[in-house]
Amino acid sequence: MGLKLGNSKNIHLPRAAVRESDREKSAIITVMDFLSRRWLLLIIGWAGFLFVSGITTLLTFVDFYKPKVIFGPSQRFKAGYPEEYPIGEVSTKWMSEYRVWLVRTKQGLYAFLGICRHLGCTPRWVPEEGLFKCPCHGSNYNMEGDVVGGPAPKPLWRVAVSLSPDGQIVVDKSVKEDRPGVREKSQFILPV
Amino acid sequence: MEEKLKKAKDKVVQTQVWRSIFRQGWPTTDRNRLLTTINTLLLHLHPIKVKTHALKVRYTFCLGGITLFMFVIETVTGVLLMYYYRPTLEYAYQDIKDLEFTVTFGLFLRNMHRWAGHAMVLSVILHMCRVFYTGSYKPPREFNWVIGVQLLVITLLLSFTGYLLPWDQLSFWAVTVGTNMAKATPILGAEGPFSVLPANTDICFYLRGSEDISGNTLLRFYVLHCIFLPLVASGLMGVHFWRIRKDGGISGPL
Amino acid sequence: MQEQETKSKRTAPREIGAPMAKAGLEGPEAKEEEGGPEPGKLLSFPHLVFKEFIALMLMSLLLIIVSMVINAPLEEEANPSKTPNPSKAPWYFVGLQEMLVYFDPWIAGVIAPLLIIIGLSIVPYVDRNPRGVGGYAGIKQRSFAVTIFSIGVFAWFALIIFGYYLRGPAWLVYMPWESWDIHKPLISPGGVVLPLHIGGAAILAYFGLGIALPIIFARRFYRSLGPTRYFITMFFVLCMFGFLAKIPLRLVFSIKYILMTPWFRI
Repeated sequence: MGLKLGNSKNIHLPRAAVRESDREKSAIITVMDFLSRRWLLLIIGWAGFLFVSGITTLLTFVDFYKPKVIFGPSQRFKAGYPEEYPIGEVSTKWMSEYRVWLVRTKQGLYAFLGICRHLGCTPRWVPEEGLFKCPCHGSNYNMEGDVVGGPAPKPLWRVAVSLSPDGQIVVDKSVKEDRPGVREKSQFILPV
Repeated sequence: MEEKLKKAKDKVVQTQVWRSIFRQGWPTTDRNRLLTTINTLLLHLHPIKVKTHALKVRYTFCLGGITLFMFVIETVTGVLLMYYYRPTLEYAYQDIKDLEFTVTFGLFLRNMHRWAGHAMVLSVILHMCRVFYTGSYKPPREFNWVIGVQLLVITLLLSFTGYLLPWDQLSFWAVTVGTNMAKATPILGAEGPFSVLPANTDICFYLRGSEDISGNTLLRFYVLHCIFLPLVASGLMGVHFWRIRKDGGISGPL
Repeated sequence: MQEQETKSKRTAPREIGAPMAKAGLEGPEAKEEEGGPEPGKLLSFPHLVFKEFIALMLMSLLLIIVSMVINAPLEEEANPSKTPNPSKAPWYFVGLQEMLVYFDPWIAGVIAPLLIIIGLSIVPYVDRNPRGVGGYAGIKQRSFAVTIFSIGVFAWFALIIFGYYLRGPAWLVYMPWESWDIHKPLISPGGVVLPLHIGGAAILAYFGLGIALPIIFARRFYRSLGPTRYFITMFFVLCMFGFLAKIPLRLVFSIKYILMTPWFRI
């Protein structure tokens, strides 16, 4: 009654795979039996079918899990007039609403994204020390956005700033840059 | 009087209804006890007989059973909590507050769900240690150990996805830090070594359903926590218990 | 008593157990279908079931008391622009969070957990030592496996306890009796970064010697595992010790990165 393994008679194979004489003797199945053309084609056919259907199913699911439309606040916002920002200061005015700092130096005005590059916490601006300090793992950034302490691997993101026709500053959070040399140029700095 | 009670009892026990529910007599004989084990759905997880040494509390500390019990408690309290919780940005936190202050035994339910969750994580880790120190992963139980490791991972994921749902500062930042690590995944993460994917297609984006933690993340974690992971866990638990029996019951001295 | 036994005999032919016995099960299940007494075995009902029931009752009691006394934490509503200081992961992940001090996130947050999961899964396949099944007394007969596992579990919980109780604002060390208001110097930004050739050589030497030395000096251990199992085992064991070794390297010699390449840093 019990299923006995090890008896080759019970192993189901296509008829062509087992030669007549073999079936009589219940002999050991040789490599040649498996490699007979029909058997090989069968294996390739099924493997191919399962592979293709598996991959397409997987890709469909991967695509399903990616949201195509994300609802959220606009990435662009108007941040008032340049005169509102004194030279040499970091403004935390837009932090709670947009998570952006505006910094004005002699060279001009630029904006940081308030996201620590280590693990995404929000650093705090500490005016007494002139540092952005992250509470999670102690990363510190200077006014240039460069890492001066802690585990952060990269400098703070800078985002695009421009002037709208009515003279207001427009911050666009969707354009980001952190490479020294590039981040101080064109759209990432407002020479005011 | 005693005689009358006995007669009344016998009458009840011999009715068709009673006998359709209980297939065997009182478990006072070995034979009926054996049949109780086979015929009861919950009890039939057990073998009919167990090795004497396995009955010592000091051998298993009942840790696997406690883990299962915690899972059952999580399911019951979790379903009750679902009646009052909406996984959206505007309602999630308010609903937890309401649960605590306006729902009958709401605070108690939430506490129980929380502490049973932590207890489950702890007991599943201790259960793994017990199985290791008694050498119970050795043949023929190798595969059941692998299933057990997967159940450990699922338990951690269950607890972690549930952590975000109250939508308070604690949960938000713990999950921010936790999912940000996915960004650092080699190849698949946007900021990891050998990254090939931009931030809006990397593995962290799939996890969160957006680039930052958002309403999408809350909904995703809710579905994972309430439906997907419990189903996977139940399936694996079924295999886990089944394999204990099929691998010859609880481990014993060779 | 007598009456009940006769009654149970009457119902016997209808019982579910009978067809199963007829089906002729094989394997470990077969023996237990027979009701007769067996040496070294007892019926699950009542011996096991009652003990489980007591455990269940005790756990329920404990859980109910804890749930009545301690409230689940609930802080202010989530606010993306304000990070609490410090913000800690759930306790079971605090060990990994603590490793973030010593490693970049891709190691502490991705590679380390993966290696732990894979390493645990392969335990039964690399440990071919047949001794020590069925009791705590046998752990002396498999000292290697028990030592390595215990170090791993100990380190996991030690990191959790350290991170949970001794880390304060900005993830700095604060003793339990110290106020979190004290200002502390920050974690040093740099520290030593080993040059590429020294760092690379150090890592290669660590794994090379770690794998080669036991082959030479612990020949019996190597033979008992066989080459494939030996290499896999040693890889995971050395990874574990490597993770832990970075802690003193960082704290005592302030080495930030052992290996620094343009693509990744260890």
